[in-house]
Amino acid sequence: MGRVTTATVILVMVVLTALAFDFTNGFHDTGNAMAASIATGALSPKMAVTLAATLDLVGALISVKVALTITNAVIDGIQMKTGVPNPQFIGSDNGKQGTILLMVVLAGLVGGIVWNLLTWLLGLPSSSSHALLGGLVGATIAGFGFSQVNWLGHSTEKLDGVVGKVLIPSLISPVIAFIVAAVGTRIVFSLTSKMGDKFRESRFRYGQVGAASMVALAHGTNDAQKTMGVITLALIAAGQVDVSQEISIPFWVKLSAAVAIALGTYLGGWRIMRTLGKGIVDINAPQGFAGDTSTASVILASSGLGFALSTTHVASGSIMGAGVGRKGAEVRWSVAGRMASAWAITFPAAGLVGAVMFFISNLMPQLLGATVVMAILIAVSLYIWMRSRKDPVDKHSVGKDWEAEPDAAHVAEAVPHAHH
Amino acid sequence: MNNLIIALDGAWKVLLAGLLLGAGIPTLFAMAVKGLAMAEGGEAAGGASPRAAGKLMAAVFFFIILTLVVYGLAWLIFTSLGFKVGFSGPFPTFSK
Repeated sequence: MGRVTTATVILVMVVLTALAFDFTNGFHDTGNAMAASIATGALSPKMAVTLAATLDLVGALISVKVALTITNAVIDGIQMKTGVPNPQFIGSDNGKQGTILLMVVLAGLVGGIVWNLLTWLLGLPSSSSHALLGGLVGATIAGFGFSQVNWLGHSTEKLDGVVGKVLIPSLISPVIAFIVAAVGTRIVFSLTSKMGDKFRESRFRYGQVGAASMVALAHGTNDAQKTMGVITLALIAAGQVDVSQEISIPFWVKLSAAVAIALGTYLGGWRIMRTLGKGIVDINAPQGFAGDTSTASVILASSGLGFALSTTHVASGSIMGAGVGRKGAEVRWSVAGRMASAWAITFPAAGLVGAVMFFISNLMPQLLGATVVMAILIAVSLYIWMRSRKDPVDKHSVGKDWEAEPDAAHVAEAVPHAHH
Repeated sequence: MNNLIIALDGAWKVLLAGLLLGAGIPTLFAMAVKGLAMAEGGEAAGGASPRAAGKLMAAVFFFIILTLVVYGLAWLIFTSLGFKVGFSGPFPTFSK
C-alpha cells in the first residue's frame, strides 16, 4: 500500500511540473506570434496577448493529434507502438508498479523549465520543444544510460532521433523561414514602392493581425500536445490508465494543458518579445506582415508534410528575413548571434540540468528525491524571477526603441550567478 | 545518413510550399492594397488621381486571399480534429 502512495504522490508532482513547463512554454512563445504586431503597433500589447492566448487555447483544445509518442523519438524503445511505456523502464517495487520512469520524466521537465526561465531572463527566444526534449534526454542518460538515447533515429521514412527531430530541423527551418520572409518582403516593397507610407502602414497592419492570429492558432495545435503526451506517459507509468484498450488522453489532461499554455501566453514573455520585435531588426507593418505570413506558412507547410520544427526558430528566421528583405534595413547581427548560440546550447544545457536533477534525486529515497527536486525547481524559479525584477520588461516598455533600454549585455553578465 | 536524405527531401518541399504561400499571400495582399490606394488617390497613390478600377482590383485580390485563408483554417482545424482533408474540384472534402 505504501508503495502505491509513493507512486501517486510522485505522479502528482510530475503532472504539476508538466503543467508548469507548459506555462513557461506559453510565455516563452507569445512573441513568435505577436512580437511583430506589437513592434509595428498593429496591436496594443494587451490586445496581442489576449488574442494569442485565446487562439492558443482554441488550438490546444481542437487538436486531437496528441504527441503520445513524443518521447519515443528521442529515447529508444521507451514506448511501444501504442504509446504504452515498455515495462523495463517503469521498474517495479516488490512486484508493484515502480517509479523510475516518473523520476526521469520529472527531472527532464525540471531541466526544460529551468532552461526556459533562464533564456527568458536573458530575453532569448529559444525553442521550448528543444528544452523539453533536451531535459528528457539528459534525465534518460542519467537514469537509463547513454545508449538508451535514440541519437540517429531508426526510421528510413521519417525524421527520427535526436539528429532527425532536433538537430537537422533547427539548422534547416530558420533558413527556410528566412528565405520565404525575405522574398515576400522584397515583393511587397517593390509592388508598393509608390504608395504613401502612412497609407501602406495602416493597411498592412490589418493583414498583420490576420497573419499573427494564424501563427497563434497553429502554435496551440502544436505545442500543448507535447505536454499532454508527457502527462499521459506519466499516468500510464503510474498505472493510472487502462492500457488494455486504445489509449485516449483523459479530458482533464487536455483541458489543464490547454489552460496552462494559454495562461502563460496571456502573461506574455515581454523580455523575449522585445528581442524578437525590436532587438533583431526594426520593422514596419509590411515587413511584419510578410514575416508573420512566412512563419504561418512554413509552420503549416511543415506540419502538413510531417517535418518537425520549432515555432521559435521559424519565427526568428522570418523576422530576420523580413529585415533584410527591405533595402537599407539594419539587422543587429550581434543580437541574432546571441540568439543562435542560445539555440545551439538549449538541448545540451536543458539535458545537463535534467541529468543533474536525476542524480540528485537518485541519492535518496524516491519520495524525498522528488520533493528535493521540486524544492530546487521552486528556489531556482524564484531566484530567476527576482533577478528579472532588477531589469523589468513589461507591456509598457516592450515596444521602446532598442538602444533606449539598459544594455542587454548588462543582464548577460549578471546571469552566470544564477547557476548556483 | 538516412536522416539527412529525408531531411533534405522534406526541406525543399517545405521551402516550395512556404514560398508559394508565404510569398504568394503577401504578393496578393500587396496587390489588394495597391488597388485600395488607386481608388483613394492622392497621397496614398503617390499623387495620382483616384481611379474607380482600384476598387475592383482590391475586391478581386481580397476575395482570393479570403478564400485561401478559409481553406487554410479549414485545413488546420480539420486535420487537428483528426480528419483527412482532400479536394474535390475547388471544394475541400473531409473524411475520418
